Amino acid sequence: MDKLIIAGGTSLSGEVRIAGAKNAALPILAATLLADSPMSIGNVPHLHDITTTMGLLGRMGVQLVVDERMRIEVDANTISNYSAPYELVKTMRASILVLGPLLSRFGQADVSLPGGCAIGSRPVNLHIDGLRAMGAEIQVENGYIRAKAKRLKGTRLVMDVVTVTGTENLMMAATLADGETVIENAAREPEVVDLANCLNKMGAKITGAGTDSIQIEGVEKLSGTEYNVLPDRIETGTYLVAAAITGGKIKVRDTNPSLIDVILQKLREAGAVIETGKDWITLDMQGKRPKSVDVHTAPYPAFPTDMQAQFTALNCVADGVGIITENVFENRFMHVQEMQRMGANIKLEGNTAIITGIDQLTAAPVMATDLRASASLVLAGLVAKGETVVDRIYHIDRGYDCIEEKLAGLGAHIRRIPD
Amino acid sequence: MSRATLNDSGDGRLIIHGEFGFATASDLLAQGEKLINRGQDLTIDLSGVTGSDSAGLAVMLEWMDQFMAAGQQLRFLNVPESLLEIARVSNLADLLPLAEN
Repeated sequence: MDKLIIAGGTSLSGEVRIAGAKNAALPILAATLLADSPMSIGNVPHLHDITTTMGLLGRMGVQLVVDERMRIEVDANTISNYSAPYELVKTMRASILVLGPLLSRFGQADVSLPGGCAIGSRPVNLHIDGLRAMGAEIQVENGYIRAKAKRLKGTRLVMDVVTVTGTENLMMAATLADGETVIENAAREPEVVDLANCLNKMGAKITGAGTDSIQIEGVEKLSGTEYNVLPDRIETGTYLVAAAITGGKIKVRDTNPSLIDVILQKLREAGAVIETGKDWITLDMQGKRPKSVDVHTAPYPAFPTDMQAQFTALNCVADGVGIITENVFENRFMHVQEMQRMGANIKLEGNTAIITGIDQLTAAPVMATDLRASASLVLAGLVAKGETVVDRIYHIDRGYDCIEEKLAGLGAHIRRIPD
Repeated sequence: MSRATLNDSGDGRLIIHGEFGFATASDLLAQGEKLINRGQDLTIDLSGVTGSDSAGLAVMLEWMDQFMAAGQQLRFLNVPESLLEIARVSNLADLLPLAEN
């Protein structure tokens, strides 16, 4: 397994370009199954899960071509089977996003149940219950969700808990259903809105995306279109924290500041001077040490759980005491133990981490446990004395497009050691 | 009608002219069959490629398979950077036998 080696102590400066959001690109790639003519998707990040999704679609017989601008052209009319096998689903839980589109357009789907997840349970029963309420016949047998339907029927769906992939799956399924579907207690994340925008451009009739009630008027067919995935707000936030933690000054390009209002607010609280334009953000710490900030994670538009670990790292070297409360996922403080090995002063109490900032962390060999935890360890390494070795970085490669190249472009001393 | 040709330069090189992608992949494969299986090592020169996509990369992999099966050596010369980027994203860049100018 590859490792990252980071020599801490450099203030970041320069410009960095943000990639498209994986969490928008994956459902949009699944949505291409709904189109009766070829789709062209741009601003797709160069990440393993994207390749896995392309492999999944390719196995179904869907025709995919990557062009010179790295746009992915997808023609689902060549589909020959409707199955998402275990060996792919187990590596990428988002594979379940093909369930709704397959069932809605082709009337059948066999999708493996995903396995466990390191950061907490993510039930799929909401996807299944929602599709059943729309008239699908679904059996769960031999580890597979086996679904059939003639034409799904629009209905009112009330989600027990807010789920992003559940909302996306049901929204996609409802686009070709007979009549109106209303999803109550829907996820409000920008990635859900981006999917709705894409589906509407394909001919769907969706309103209310971005609120907790989404209305979908079913249509007879959807057509292919060109669509560019929205920028990755978590990658944006991670580079901004990287600059803040190192007392640096950077410009983040090809992003959307309106997606990360709460993150920018927290960074301002930490002492950053921030300016924004239509598609850029500058952050300047003016060489100062960050101040501690308190963070409470919650579903969008509140502070994202996917930025919790990065702000934990920031608080480790900030002036004062910061309290981080994780309200979204259970068991999402696995980075804390690694940071403590770097000298961080963190006290864990249930879902709360109380962090007393110290002047400097000390380099140590650390191990990544999930995607965002990995990123936080890299950030910690940027300000640690000595060379930090981050092992198991396949986690980080799942969510960050060329992270070591981008950080090195900002002046960080970071290199990858291949296995 | 094909928008690409595979021409024999006579010095152990085949030169692709035109688009090297989805629209021309089948035709280039067919042209390649006539020119490739002649029991000798070859270099395929992509300097005349005007545009490419992942279907072009698939053709390169197919040619590599054919040469490997025949026990012959194949190299690619002047591969466009955009095609190399597609290979990198697909984790295939290390597999391509590249010739130096």
